[in-house]
Amino acid sequence: MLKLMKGGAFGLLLFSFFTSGLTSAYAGELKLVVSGPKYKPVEGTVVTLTPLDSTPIPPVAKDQKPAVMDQVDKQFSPYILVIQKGTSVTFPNSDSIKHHVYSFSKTKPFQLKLYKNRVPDPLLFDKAGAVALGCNIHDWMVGYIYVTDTPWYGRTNKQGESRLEVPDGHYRLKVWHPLLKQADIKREQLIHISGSTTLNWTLAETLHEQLNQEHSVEAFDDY
Amino acid sequence: MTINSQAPRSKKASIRTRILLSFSMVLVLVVTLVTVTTLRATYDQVSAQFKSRLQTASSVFQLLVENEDSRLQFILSTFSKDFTVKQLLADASNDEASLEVALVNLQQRSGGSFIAAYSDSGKRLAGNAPELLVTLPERLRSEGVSFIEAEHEIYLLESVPFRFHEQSPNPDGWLIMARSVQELLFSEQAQELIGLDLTAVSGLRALASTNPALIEPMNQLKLMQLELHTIHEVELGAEYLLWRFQLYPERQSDIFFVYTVPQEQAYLSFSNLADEFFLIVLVASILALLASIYISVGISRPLRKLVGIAQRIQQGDYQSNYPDFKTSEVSSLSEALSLMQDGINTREAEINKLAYSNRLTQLPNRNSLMKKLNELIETEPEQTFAVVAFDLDNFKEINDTLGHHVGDQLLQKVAERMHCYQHLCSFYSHTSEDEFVLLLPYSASYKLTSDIEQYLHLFDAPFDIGGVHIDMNAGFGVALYPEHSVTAGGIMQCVDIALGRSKGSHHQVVTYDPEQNPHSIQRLTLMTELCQAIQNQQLQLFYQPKLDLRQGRVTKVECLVRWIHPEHGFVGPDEFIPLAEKSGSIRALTKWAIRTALDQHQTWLQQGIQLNFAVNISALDLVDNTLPVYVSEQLFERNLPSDVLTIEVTESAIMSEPEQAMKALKMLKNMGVSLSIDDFGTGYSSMSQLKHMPVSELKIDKSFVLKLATERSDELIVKSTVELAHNLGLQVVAEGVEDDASLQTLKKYEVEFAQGYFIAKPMASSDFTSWYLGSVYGAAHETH
Repeated sequence: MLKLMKGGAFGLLLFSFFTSGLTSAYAGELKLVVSGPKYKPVEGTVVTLTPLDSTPIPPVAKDQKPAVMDQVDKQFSPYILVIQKGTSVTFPNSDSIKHHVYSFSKTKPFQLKLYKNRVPDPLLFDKAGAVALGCNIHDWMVGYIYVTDTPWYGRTNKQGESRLEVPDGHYRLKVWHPLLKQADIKREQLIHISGSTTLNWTLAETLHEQLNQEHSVEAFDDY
Repeated sequence: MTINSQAPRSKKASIRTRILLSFSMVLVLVVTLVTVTTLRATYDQVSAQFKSRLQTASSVFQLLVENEDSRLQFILSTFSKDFTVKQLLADASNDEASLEVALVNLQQRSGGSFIAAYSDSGKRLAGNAPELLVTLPERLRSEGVSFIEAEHEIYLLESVPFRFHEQSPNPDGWLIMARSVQELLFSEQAQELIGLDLTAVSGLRALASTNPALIEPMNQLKLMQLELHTIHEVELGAEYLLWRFQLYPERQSDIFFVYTVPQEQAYLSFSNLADEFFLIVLVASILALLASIYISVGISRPLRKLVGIAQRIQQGDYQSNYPDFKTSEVSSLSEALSLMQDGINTREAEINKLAYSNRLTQLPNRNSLMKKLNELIETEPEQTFAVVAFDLDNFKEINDTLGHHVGDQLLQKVAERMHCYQHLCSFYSHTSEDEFVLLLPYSASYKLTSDIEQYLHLFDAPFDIGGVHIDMNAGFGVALYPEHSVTAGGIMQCVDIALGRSKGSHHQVVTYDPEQNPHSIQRLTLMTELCQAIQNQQLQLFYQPKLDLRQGRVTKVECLVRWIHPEHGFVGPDEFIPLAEKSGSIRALTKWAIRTALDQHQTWLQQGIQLNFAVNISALDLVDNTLPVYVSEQLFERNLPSDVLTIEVTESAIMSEPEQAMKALKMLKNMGVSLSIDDFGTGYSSMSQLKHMPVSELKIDKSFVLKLATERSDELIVKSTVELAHNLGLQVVAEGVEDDASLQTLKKYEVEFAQGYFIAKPMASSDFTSWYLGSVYGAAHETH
């Protein structure tokens, strides 16, 4: 199962690389390092850059393939799915048992009964925000869909690094993790990117403990 | 040393008191210690038990609360996990009513008092919680149970977070449900479990209680100030014990709980115990008192009895009985006293024997006799009795010749014979060496006489002493009571006199005759009176002239003592001189005579009468060494020559102590005093002694001179005596010249001096002076 997770993570990384590769035409680059208050790198943090100026935001293509939030081995996979708003998401349910996925997040409240032979239509996520997922049947299942309003987003690696190539300009930088404590949740920074820009982002507080470590997708050590 | 029976009992505590005090002190001490320690321990124990009971009760209470807490928590958390509920909660802002209904439904199902749901910031989403909880305060935004006061009631309030997603790190909101404490805890079941009165207090107000009557009084007290987990004594209408405690103090500090119990109930067992103790102490004290009294009496009473017996012994009663005693020590003491008493009895009997009986004959002695006489006189004054004394003749000679052992045996034999006469006389005694005395009570005198005669027969048979037959006789003296005397001493005197007379008169039995001895009693008194008489001028010197036959005139006088007794009148020298000799007052008498004679000589000298004074002295005077010195002094004082004095002394006087007499006479002779032998011819004298006597003169006793003229024998004696005297160179004085014929005869035989009534009788000094001056023999003598 861990291999699968790693696989998933790698896939994600690859994807973001490709994405960044597609846009290698951009002049600017942000190198962000996210670390905890004790300066330990934080892996898996979602980093988003939302342009503030007139830089146009390329929208999501209509025929864009839907993102997948699978249920594997009675757990959401991936743990965190980052999509640009306007993207649809499918919930294939690769498990042999029933799941009843729901979310009460204001960004996208929904509930889907995922039975074996009934795979519902993909859901469109057209509002930016974090969507927490749970399964009504399986209390321990937890997953997140982070809907951005910008295509320029990434995840930090093991080293806590994230490299984003963006056009030079003014951006709003936001850092998000499901386990952020109150002090870090609404933090954002306005940043001007010109050329290669490096930024260190230190969290004010350590992350919450993962509640159900047995079934966690990624193990997070103490920061 | 006499034992003072009134020994200071006040200073010494009696045994009874001491035992009682000791017992009491020990008892009091022991009981007090035991009581104090036990009661203290019990009190502590009861307190500890009560405390532990309180703690148990509060634990029970806590358990009940926790039970309820768990229940509420479970209910709420289960509720919050329900998807439909989550939907309602998520939709609360739009559809509050649905959520509210669901909540209320849950509340009623669960028996809660109110219920509410809040957002994570504490904003109320729905519910019927009181106004107080329109928003959820910070302190309630944590999972757990609290107590809360709302609208004068106290509630147990459970807070439970809810999450839309169970894995969310932060709660999405809060659910609370409350249960009224009154309802919950003050149920019968709870009360049974807890068993004490429980009151819930918020701040200063008691709000709920298992015993509502306590609420008002409690509000009067500042319960908040009382220390937690401590037993306090409070006044709530009655004495109560109070215990304050809190549950979950970290969640709030205003609400607390109080257990109360009436004090007497709490310490019921203790006060019962104390009462019992007191009773025990009382009973034990009484028992100890009785025991101590019993024991002490067991000691002190016997001791007092023994003291009583000892006192009787002191007083001479040796016949006490010794009672049996239970205590061994006292018994020993009693026995010892008894033996002592026996010893005293024995010794006293012995002493009595010694004191009251004659060792030789075992008969009563003089002491006994006197005692018996006194007893008889005192107890039977009307009974006539005779005291008969008899005295063995010549007993002294028998002792001297045959020896004392013979004498002793003789006395014993006499006593033996007396025993045969017991029927006649009940009391007979052995009073001195050879004297025995009988006490004969009688009623008829003829009987008495015959009885006494019986005793004469006692001496009829000779006494056989070791083969020697001794004839004894005795003289008897009899005196009668109450005729002769009414005192023991008096009657003994009469008996002695009678006995003496029997000896002297050869009558075997002489009864005291008061008439025949008119002066016998008087005689004894006269002896004492004589001494005074000498001092009191009752004595006088009379003078009888001695006629010098050659010269025909008086040249000498004889001094004769005369006593004029104030009561008896004239007491003759025949009477008092022997008395004086017996009593020894003759010496004072003689000295007085010498003084008076010399004084008279001086007086007459002044009157022109010069005479020689002849003074009589006795045997005692001769033996007295001081006489010559005295004479010398008296002469010297008056400045008189020693030849004015002549000393006349009888033959018998000299012969009684010849050597001593010689000495004295020689001394007097050397001084120049003439000496004369008086009453010559009537006493014992040895011729050889006579020639050595330094006398110058010899006086022929009157017995030869009185009938000189008529009796031829007397004449011859006188004649021979005169010749003897002249041959020895002595002058002669003839006493008792009563007629002229005798005088002429004396002249014929050349007697130098004559003295007698014919010439003159003894006269007092003044009479003599008159006679002398007028007499032809005196001053009127014509010298040829």
